[in-house]
Amino acid sequence: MSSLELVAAARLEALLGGAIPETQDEARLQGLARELRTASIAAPSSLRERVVRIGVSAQPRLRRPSRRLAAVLAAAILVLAAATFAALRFTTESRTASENLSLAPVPAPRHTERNVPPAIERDLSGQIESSAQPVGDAALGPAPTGRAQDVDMWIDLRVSDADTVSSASQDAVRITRELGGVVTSSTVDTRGPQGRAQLRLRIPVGNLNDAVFRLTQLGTVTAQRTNTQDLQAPLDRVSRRIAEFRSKIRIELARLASGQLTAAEELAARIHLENLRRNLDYAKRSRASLVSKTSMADLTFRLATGAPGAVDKNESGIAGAVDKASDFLRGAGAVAVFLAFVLSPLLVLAILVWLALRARNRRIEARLLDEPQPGAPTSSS
Amino acid sequence: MDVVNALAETWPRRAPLRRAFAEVAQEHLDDVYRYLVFLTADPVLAEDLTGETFEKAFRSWKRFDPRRGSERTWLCQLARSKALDHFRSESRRRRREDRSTSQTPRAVEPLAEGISAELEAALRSLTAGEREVVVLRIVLELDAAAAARVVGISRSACSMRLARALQKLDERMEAHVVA
Repeated sequence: MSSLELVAAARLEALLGGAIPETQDEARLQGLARELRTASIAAPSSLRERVVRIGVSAQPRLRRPSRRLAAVLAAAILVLAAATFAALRFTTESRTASENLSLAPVPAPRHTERNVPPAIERDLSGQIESSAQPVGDAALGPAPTGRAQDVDMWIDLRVSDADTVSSASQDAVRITRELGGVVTSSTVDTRGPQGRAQLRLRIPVGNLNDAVFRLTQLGTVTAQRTNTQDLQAPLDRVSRRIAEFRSKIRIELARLASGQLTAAEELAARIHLENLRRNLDYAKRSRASLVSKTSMADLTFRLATGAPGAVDKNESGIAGAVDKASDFLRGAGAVAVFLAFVLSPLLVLAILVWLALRARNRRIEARLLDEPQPGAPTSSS
Repeated sequence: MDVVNALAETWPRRAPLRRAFAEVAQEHLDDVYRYLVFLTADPVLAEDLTGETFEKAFRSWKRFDPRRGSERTWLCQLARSKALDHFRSESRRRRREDRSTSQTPRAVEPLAEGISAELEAALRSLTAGEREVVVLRIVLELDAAAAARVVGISRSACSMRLARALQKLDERMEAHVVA
């Protein structure tokens, strides 16, 4: 009797399904299967009772969270925390950038002068209102509070291209001259599509608001800052000294004109008069300098090219909502990309580790199942 | 209408209602025990492992998804996992033990009634992996897909393993008869 030939898998399936055997080997295989199926193996009654009792005696117990669940939860919390941190950081950076030098344009009406405190704005407007008065002893830095102030302003504008940088610079010079101001320095740099310019302007405080309004029409305001310094106290001090010197000069002139002085007294009076006149000239120059400072505002006007086709951002209405939504989506996208970059290597590593562990377990299982009785108990004598 | 029918065919169906665990345990207890007897070739050990399998099944009963396989397949997977855990621990224990200690095997109990001594001897000479596919495909009469799912291999690999196991079984029986 020869041994059974290896039966093809498909044929084996058919024979197990009850197909009529065509060869002696197939008939022997079916007979073997039939004998195996006749094997009577029933669970012992003790085992049956034990299994029946499982459902009855088992009390519903509180399920402790498994270690796997705890690990998954911990990993999820870590990922969520990292994503939240990244999103918050991104949002903060975006907001800072948009408030300072963001490519996203900001509308340029006068009420958007962001870094100008309300009090300073009132002072500026007051200066402009009172600037119709002639600049002289009686009209020193005309502010609504009557105080003289030195004003420094910075305005940053964004324009679409280098050509606009040049034309806007020329317009700024023209506006400055029209308003009685001067351009103290200018730098225009246009290379290719990019360009930037910086102009230092001195503008009469009376025309400052008008100048700011007209200059901000040349592009989109991205930043604006104003510094003011109160000069009223030093100006008052200098004015008082001038008045004192003039009074003393008049007294000395009167003494000399009286003709009652001795030669020595007359000499001393003339020397004193000369000193008073010199001090008066010095005080006048100081006052002129202060008046000059308070009558003209320094304005640094900067232009830079921005993203082409940028549109004004409307803070309200449907357009505002769309802008906010797109900002949020941009942030979410950045977070997703960040997470993908950070987590993808870890994910690949985890998959590789999982595959390696799975292959190792398979090898161990295969080795264990290759033994005839892998779990056979042994007892020592 | 055809589109609706096609959608209805592809739409995820609700999970079929599950039976009570006690009912399932009663129905499949013998099958799980048979499977473990063949896998371990030790009825006493199989009894212990069957009890542990049903205890684990009771704890995991809520997680059983009928759409992913029959109750019998699921129980056999749990039984296999229990048996492998036991094999691993036994393997470790044997490595730890002093190999010089003389050991006597426990009295061998018959695997099953109604089979010839030649078949029983031939079955015992097979590896656990070979006996596993024999019991799944022939004794429990699982189809190829279900058996492959329990063993964790492909259908073709499962069929090939069964063909080799039967060939080996026949050879061992023939050798026993000749002897």
